[in-house]
Amino acid sequence: MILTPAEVEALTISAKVAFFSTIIVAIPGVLLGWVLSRRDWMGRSVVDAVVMLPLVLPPVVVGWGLLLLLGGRSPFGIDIAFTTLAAAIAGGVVGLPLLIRAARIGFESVPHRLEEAARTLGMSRLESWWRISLPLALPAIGQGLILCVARSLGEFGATITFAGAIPGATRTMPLMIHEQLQAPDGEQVALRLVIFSATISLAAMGCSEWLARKVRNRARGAT
Amino acid sequence: MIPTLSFDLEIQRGQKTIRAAAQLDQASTGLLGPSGCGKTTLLHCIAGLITPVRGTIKVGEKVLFDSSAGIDIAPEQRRVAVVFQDGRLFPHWSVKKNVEVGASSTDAALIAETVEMLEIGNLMSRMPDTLSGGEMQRIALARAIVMRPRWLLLDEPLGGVDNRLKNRILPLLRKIRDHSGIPILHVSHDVSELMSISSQLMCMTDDRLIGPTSYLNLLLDGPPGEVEAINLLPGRVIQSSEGDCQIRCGNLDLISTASGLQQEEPVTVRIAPSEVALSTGALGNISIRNQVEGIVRKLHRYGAAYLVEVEAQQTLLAECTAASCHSLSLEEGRSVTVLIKASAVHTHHPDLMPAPP
Repeated sequence: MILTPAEVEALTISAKVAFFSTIIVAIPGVLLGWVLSRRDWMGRSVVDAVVMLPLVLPPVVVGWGLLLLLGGRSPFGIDIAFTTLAAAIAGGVVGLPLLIRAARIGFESVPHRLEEAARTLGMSRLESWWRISLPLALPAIGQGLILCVARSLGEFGATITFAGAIPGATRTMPLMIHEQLQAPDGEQVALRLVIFSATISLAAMGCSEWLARKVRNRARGAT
Repeated sequence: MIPTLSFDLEIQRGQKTIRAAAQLDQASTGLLGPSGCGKTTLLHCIAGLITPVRGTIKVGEKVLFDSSAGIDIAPEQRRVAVVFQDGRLFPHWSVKKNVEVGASSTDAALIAETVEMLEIGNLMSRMPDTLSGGEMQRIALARAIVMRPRWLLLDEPLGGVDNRLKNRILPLLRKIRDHSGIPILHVSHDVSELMSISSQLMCMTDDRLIGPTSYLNLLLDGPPGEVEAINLLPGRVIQSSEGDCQIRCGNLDLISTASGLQQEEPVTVRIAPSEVALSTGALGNISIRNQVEGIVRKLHRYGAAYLVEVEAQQTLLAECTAASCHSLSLEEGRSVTVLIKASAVHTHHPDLMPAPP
């Protein structure tokens, strides 16, 4: 299967966008997952609902929201709309809830009693988080990151709204497929791209499943 | 020099509030009480994992907790080690890393010594999930010792292991007590397990802590029914034959129907006070083979009956009803014959031997 330069370009942009969107949300996602895994604190359910919003809202709405916040009329004076960075942010924001969910489950699966043991052995709260909780939650976090990459690869609505479909800058695979479907005889190309996308997605899910098994094994070791 | 562990606390346990106050200055102290009575909660308060309602905790001169002064030292700064019932090894680390986690890097000698003392050298490269329950507890003990704690709290460390393993770990606990210089507070619901490590015992009841004191005091002055009454005597087999054997406990020789014991083997004799009878008159022919002359030291109320403390080479407890105490006119100083059937003289593995007072 030989790809045209335009298709290669779309693939490259997709990969770049997926990679950077995951990098952007990795740290906030893990921290939010951990914060939400802590037992009750004031306003937890509100924060939980807010971070889950991108999962339930139509991506177009998310894209529009980003456009309002970081576009030409940005209240912060930051205009990054219609750039590769915008595409990465759009992909990251819709992937974030998946990462938070996975990280939260990962941290919740770390028995609190291990952190207690760590404290009595001389570790501070931060140290016990870094040396015990985080490593034990890592497989789940990895799974969340893969979901995030996969979600970002497939992102369409938020991207087209916030970043547009500029060839060479923001036209990712899904946008190109959409474009081809609009063209009179683009179905052939679209089909090829669909097969390609599906293969990548399946590989990502496979990785994710493998990591999930690792999480379970590790949780078994912890009991 | 043992740093005194003193505390005077109010602890919340579910709906009830427990008042716990004691000063511990022995190499080891046992804490007895039924499951769920708040023993673990007390240990966690001392370690800093649970905040007591109010009160103070001190180790030596160092205040760990004082509710009125607003002092609450973080657990990692208390230098109070805990060995939990469930081991709590870190599953993502090797045994070696688990053992060394609390040690300072200059303590290689102590680590080597501890590894040897607890016989875990061959386990160092394993992962925790490949260990048996007894092995896990030995690692947890090693991990606690190498951090050089000022106190070592053991929370039912033998709770999850069978009798055979208990017999392997108990001598190790005694070794720790005798050689590490770290004072131990040991929690269990099994009085003979505690007595094999500690001569000082405490008992936690519904709302308060009793002790530390000797087993006998706890049994006789503590809450009725909380502490199991039992005669535990260390001894050794002096003669063994088919069907019975003779055991010497200090100056007291007893015949037991225990079989399979070796000559000179150290054992612990266990006799229930309800199996010990007393006689004041001349005995006719009688099948009971252990007959020892003794003097009544004291009568202690024990539920509806009495526990009669008799000095007969050893201090023995005999359970008698009020009526028989009356008919024998048992009182302090009375000479009696202590009668114990050979089949009531049970033997324990030596590792369940009581600690020297």
